[in-house]
Amino acid sequence: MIKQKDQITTAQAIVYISSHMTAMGILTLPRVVTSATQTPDGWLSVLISGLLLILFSMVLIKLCQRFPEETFYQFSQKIIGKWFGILLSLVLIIYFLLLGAFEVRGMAEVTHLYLLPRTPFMATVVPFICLGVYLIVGGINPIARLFDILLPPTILVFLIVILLSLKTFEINNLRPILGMGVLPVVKGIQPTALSLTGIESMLVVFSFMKEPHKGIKAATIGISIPLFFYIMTTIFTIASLGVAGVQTKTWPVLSLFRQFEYTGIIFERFETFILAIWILQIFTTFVTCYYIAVLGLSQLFQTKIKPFIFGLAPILYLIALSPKNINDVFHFGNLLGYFGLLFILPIPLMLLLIAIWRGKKHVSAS
Amino acid sequence: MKGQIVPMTKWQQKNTSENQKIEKNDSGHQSIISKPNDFTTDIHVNLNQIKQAIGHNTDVIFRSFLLGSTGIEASIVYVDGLVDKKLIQDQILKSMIYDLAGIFSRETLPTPDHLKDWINNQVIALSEIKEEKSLDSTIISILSGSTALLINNIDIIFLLGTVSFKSRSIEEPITESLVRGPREGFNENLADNRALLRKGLPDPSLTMVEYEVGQRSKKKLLLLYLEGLTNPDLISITKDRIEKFDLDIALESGYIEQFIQDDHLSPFPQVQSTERPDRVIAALTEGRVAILLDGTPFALIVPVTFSMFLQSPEDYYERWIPGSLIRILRYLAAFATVFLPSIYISFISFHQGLIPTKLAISIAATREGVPFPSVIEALLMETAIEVLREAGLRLPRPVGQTVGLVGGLVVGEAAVKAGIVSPIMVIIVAITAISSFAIPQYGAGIALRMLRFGSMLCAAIWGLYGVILFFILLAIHLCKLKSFGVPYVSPAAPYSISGWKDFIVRFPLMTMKNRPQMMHVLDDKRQKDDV
Repeated sequence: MIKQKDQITTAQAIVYISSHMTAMGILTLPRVVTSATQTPDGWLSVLISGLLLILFSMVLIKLCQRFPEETFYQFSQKIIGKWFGILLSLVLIIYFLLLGAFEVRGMAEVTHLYLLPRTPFMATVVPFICLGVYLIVGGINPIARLFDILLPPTILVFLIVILLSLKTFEINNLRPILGMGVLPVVKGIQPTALSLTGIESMLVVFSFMKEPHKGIKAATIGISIPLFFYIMTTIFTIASLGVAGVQTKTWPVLSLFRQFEYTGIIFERFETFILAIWILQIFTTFVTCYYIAVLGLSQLFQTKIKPFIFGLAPILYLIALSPKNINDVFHFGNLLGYFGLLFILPIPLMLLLIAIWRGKKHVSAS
Repeated sequence: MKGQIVPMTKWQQKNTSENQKIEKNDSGHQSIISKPNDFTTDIHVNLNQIKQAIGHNTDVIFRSFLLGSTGIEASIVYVDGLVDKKLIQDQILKSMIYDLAGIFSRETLPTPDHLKDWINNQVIALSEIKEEKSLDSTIISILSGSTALLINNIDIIFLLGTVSFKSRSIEEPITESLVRGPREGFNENLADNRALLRKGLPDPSLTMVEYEVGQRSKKKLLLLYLEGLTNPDLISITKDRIEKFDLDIALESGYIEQFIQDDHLSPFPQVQSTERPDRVIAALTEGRVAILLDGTPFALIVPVTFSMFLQSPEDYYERWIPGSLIRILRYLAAFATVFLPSIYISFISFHQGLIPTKLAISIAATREGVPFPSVIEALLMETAIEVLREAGLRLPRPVGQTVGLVGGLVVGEAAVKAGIVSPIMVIIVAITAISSFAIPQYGAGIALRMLRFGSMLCAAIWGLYGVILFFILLAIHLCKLKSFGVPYVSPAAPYSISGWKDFIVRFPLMTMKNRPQMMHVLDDKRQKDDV
């Protein structure tokens, strides 16, 4: 109890994965999917890609389970040699840096649009990054505890508000199911990539798990929670706005919550609540990316973590402010989605096969 | 305290648990033999030593007499007012002067050893009697209410337990009053407080370790825990922290609290202070450690978690449904205390579009003519109400109520009429103030009220986004905070089923079969499984 090691419980790993996955994607997912399918079947695409993801995550977890207590930065060097390992680690670090900066920028865009239209990005981005620094200095345990605290209110508020939106729910907007066959559904799978990235954080976070043998369980449940959010959001948004309506909105999900009003209670509109919990969830994703990048640098250079924490903050800020407009941001996000997929399936699979072939495995000290 | 090396020689540790008492007494006896003796066989020399140290004080009484018919000179020294004079007269002077005649006479003079034995075993009918060879300890004991007995030809001093000091009777605790629950509260006397706990928890595993704190105040401090239940790591970390600090005087347990807490910069209290014995007993059986200090009715409990500050013993004394509902109400009140004014400010100054149109219009109508932005208005009112609260607290009770009445009603009404503040702001401030008083722990209430100002500033700068940022900041701070190794946010995180049964909702008692998991106790069952 007193000397707690840097370890997280299985429940915390589940929360970690869910918190990391629930991020930018959720606000745009219905539009992205529907643009590809052109039918109301987008939610099926989300479901299928979620199930695929659970399948892929098993490869990733299997790889990690060969090297418990070691992060990707450490075991990749053992599998494919020092220099290739370092190279791959650097790519992963850059990916997480870019993803973290992208989340911050996305948050700033939405805040700019809905809450603070006249405030410059600097004023919203700087305190956000500072909060991240304050948290990360404490290490993995405070991070995991924060995620634990933020998840239950997120689920609660989400469920309440999404059920309130039943007022504009139009079942006919969802029909016909599979009216155009299976092909649109298949087309919709690929654009969901950005929304569903997040499991790749396990490449690093897995090493903190107290019970590594429960990794697959953690990954499965951890993916299922945000998947449930995503499917619910997609169904409700398409049902309220219709296939055509969804595609014309930049942030269709926020539009959904602006659609309905309940008069007579203090709050008539509920997008504020969604916005609040969404900013909390963006923060969790941002912190994870930031922490994993910083941890990677300190493990590669085998030095203390603090200089990197403070050193990366301005870099994150610069990357976050570099896209010129919202279209650039979305473009950036799409690229990141594919980048992330690389680390979810091809790279872990390759590493796993090489590790099996070369017989590399973690030799435990005992 | 970390890294600071404090000489530990000033610390005396005594253990009053049954087994160890004997052991300690043995070793204590040996140390007396090995120590150099400050006293001689000449009573006048010994008396002079004491007189030189404290004899100039008028409250130190020296009384010389002869041991009955033997003619041996003897003397007692005590401090007037700290001792029970009747006890000294009846049990010491009377027996020493009169009862001797029948046993000894001038012809059959006793040897010093014989006399010592005789005093210890036959003459003095007091429960506490101690032989002392050190001048310093003798002086301290006299000043703490013991009576020193000096006898010619004997080179030691007898310290007799005659301390008697009028203490406040056991009254209802003022700071933590309950509708239902025991009316007993601690008082300023350590012995009384200890007895209250023994009476409530006559369990042999209740262990009390005694310390002395303050180089000058020499206050007794008791560390209490249940042996075989409390986590040994927790006990050793607490002992460690108590032994490490060094101070001059310890007037109140608040001194101790500030030395043993984890984070000095945090606004949140990391030690719980309570006047209620039932609260201490409940904490002990949960596997926590309690600290009692002589001279204060406030006991300390460690470790604490944030959720403990929103719990009241009444939650358990009432049935579980009202208990849970009231607890949920307190969580809402805590949230309102910190965030209500800031949310109001952000809606009024930034996001008028997010509130219903009718409400927005009526608010705008009442704000007409108010010369300040809403944040200044709120800061003014909040400061005013804090001043009122403080003033009401300091004044005698009837006057305090008048201040509340004049300040709250008259000034508030006049301020609204004069158009300095809007009526809605008065409502918001009043709700916030009342909410802050619904928090059962005074220290936690203060912490949340302080944070309210930070939250209002954030709202003034960034609107609702600022409120969210402040919420994240607060959550991060709480997540990083630990109290004696236990995460401050337990049981909210990490998740624990047994912890959640006593978190926001207080589950029925029969379902709470295990002690809180966060305490890592050695014996986690508090009810049999099959009942």
